[in-house]
Amino acid sequence: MNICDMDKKSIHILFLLILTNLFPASAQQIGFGMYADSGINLSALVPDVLDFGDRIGGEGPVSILLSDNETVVLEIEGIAYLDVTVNITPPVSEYLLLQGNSNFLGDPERRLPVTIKMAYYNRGQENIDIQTAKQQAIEVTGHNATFQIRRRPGGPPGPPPTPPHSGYTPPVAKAYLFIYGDLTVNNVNSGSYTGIVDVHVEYTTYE
Amino acid sequence: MLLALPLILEAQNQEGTGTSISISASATVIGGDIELITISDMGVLDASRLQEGMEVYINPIFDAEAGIMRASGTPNAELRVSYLADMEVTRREGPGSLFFTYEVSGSPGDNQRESELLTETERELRFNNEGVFYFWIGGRVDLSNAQPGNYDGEFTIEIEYM
Repeated sequence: MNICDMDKKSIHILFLLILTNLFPASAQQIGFGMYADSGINLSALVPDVLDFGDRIGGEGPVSILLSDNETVVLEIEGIAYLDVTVNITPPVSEYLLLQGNSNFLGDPERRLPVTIKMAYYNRGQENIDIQTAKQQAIEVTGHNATFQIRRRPGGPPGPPPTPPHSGYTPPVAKAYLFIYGDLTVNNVNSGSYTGIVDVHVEYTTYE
Repeated sequence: MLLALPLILEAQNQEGTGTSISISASATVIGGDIELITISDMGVLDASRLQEGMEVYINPIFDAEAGIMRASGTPNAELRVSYLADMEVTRREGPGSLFFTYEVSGSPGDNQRESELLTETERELRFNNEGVFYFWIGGRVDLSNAQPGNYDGEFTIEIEYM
């Protein structure tokens, strides 16, 4: 190897680095949701209130399990092949408050710690009964999840979907969201304790 | 870089899309503390009205001498009440005791005449919509063998949620 050959090799490497910076890897991911102009229908089925029922003061932790009838059921209807991102916002500071009064947020005798959980079913089976959907639901860790409205069957991904255009109606499917959770009933004042759980669903854009 | 800019603008335009729904989470705590306070004591030991050998009877529904108690708890919650009807009261000055048989009436409103006699040892009742329930305490005592003096006794009532 002579000195002239070494110089040529160095110049080559420098060029490759510049090219890599110009084309970041994220450009390979296509966010079909960015172009979805059809809405998502989000509706509450029965029950639409996460009701922990009558509790005895000081009885400690109580739970509404995914399989329980008290679990809130939400229906998400949208374009079957698109991903949706679901965010749930639990009650403020994760407390149910006596009479829903925010003045009691700092009062241990007028608040109940609550943990809100969720699971989703997206296998796309039409008219599935809710109990079966619960059994097949996927429990989520945390308060947000991204999933396809109708889960892709096993195997490699199919071809890209037909983009929305005039005269074309994309396939619609339903997914189900289940809201449940845990409550700790300490020695608190008697009365009605409430809190609001906000649920937001949108098509995932990956941007 | 020229290609990337339109994509970023498109994403910003999509912010705020989607849909939201709010659901309520709730629980009703009915087993918290029940507060029971004595509004007035029973007036059975008013010496000026007592004579040796007589039987004293205070009607909890009609007599002003009935003791009054007020329980506070969860609005509209069902409660169960039980009390000890027979109680020995002792003489302060020394030996001697009397047996007092209590009678109790109750009402969710502060109206003695509309109260209901709680004749069973265990009754199912309900707090009013302000979480209050009233009791009037009367009873019967035979003074035929009583020695002069002052007598002290207790009244034991137990209230719990259903």
